[in-house]
Amino acid sequence: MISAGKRISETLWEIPPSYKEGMRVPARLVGTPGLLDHLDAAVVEQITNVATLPGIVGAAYCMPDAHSGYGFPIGGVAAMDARSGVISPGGIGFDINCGMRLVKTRLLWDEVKPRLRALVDDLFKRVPAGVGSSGFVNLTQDEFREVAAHGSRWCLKNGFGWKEDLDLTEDQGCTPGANPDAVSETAWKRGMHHLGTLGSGNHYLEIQVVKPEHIYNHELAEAFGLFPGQVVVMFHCGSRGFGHQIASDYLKIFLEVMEKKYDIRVRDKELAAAPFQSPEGQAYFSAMKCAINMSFANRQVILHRIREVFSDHFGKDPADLGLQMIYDVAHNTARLEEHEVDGNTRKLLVHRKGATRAFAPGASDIPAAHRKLGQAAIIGGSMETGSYLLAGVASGSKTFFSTAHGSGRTMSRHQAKKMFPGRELARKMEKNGIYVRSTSYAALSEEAGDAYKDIDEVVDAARKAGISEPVCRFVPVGNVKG
Amino acid sequence: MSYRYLDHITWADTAFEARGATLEELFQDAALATLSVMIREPEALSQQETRVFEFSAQAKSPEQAVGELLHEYLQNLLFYKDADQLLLRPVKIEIARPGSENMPWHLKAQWAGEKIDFEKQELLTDVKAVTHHQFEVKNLDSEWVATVVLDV
Repeated sequence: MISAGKRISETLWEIPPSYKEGMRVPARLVGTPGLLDHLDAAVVEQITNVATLPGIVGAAYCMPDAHSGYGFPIGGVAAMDARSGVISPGGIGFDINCGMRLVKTRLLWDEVKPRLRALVDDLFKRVPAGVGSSGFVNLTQDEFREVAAHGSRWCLKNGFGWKEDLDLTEDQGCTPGANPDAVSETAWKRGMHHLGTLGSGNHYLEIQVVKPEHIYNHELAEAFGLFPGQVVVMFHCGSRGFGHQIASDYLKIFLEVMEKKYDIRVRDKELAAAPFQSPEGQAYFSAMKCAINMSFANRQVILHRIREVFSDHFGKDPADLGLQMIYDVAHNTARLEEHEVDGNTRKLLVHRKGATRAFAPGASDIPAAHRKLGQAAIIGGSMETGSYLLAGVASGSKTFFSTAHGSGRTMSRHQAKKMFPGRELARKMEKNGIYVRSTSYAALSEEAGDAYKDIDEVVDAARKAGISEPVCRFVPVGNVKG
Repeated sequence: MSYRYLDHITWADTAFEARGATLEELFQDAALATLSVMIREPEALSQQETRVFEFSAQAKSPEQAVGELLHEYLQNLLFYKDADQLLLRPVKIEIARPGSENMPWHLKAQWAGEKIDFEKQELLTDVKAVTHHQFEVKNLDSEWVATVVLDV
């Protein structure tokens, strides 16, 4: 239960600036009463801390899947004025540009079912996952700098993708303004071996099925190329050690200059911030973009591997199997965007940490093929329950066009490990029709479905709140867990 | 071994508290707590490869200085894990206290371990970063206590 503030609609709870000294704007939590009743208390403290950051506009938002993190809660959204506001690495997360990629196929579940185990085993073998895994793309440091500067464009040039993949990636897979000179030697070394790796924790690669009863908007589903019985592939990963180190480096720099140079005081060190227009703020922004590009490239080379594996198993060219992207969208990022605020168009730096951008139909940043539909937002559920494709809607302007990113946890990893023994969980999942491969049973237990919120309720809350429209739900049948 | 994982600080990540009668013990325990998130039985790692890490910190108080050293020390463990694919455990830790207030504290850490090997080791969950969230080092009557939140 949240004790402060009040419910202002069925799906919105507001905590006024009077709640805490220094709050510049209210904190607003999106969620049904059922979700907000079970919110962990730290979320309220964290999102009200975010509301104290200089230059924050409108309100600090929590998405329906919010849960406690550090600095920002996971599911936190904060828009800062681009001239007078700050940039905060903690509002983006260590895993810069962590995101989701959704790939469709022309294959039906009946065709895939007999080969599922072999397919998952092979994906597990060929898409490296887990602690410290190395990718299959061997790079020199100079080549890695090219990856960071050019993202998916580097992949296309080096034979790891199709032109249309880039059109269906946020920013066409290459965010302009990435400056490799703003990245430390430590970060280059930490990230060198990680191109083409999933990572671990909640990162995964899943084979999923579209069931007829799970298509909620037939018109949109058809327009995105989805149909009943279809097999799709969804995966979740980020910028790996490269992004982790860039975030760590700049957090340290910001902690050094924040008070001394800019007189900014924050309530949690993980909220460390610098004026966006300061040398440090701009340096972080341009280094962060290197991690954004590396992350797009990472998902691009993984897609290349997936195409190879499917092609081997079905004896056809990936194009004939219809292995085309639906979209690639990040949920740990900060982006310069224009939004209407009190009738004026303002340039804002929108921080989304565990929140997905979901632009309304017509927005120029949506790939041309989908522009009329609304931006695709890919919501990764727990490995046991299912995931969603949502589309942005006009009323999403209230949250700076942001929606949920996943289920959101209901307990700590340590608690989950005690409650759901990994081997037992794998057996249970298999009984329920999900074949899972993981480098570790213990790591598997941390990701048990019961350690997460009800994804259906999260998506329903986002619909009721008018921040996105459900298109289709996907049921997992095969999972490679990082 | 003196560390325990804390459930109440974060659901998304992993928090622990490490204790040591000496600073050397504290650093040893904090390293093992971090390693144990990534690998079962870090004590069983062989000593095929070694690394030495040195770092200085000057801060307002001994607790702050030790905090800075500990943060860098744990971050260094993550660096070798990704840059060299090495899982290292602490072999020797030397912490030099400054002779006067204006001098920095100095850490010299020796690590030893082996290459990450999925066949040989039971690997668990990767650690992305040592966060500053509720990061704290306290010097109590007879021991040092550190609270650390790892991003996983």
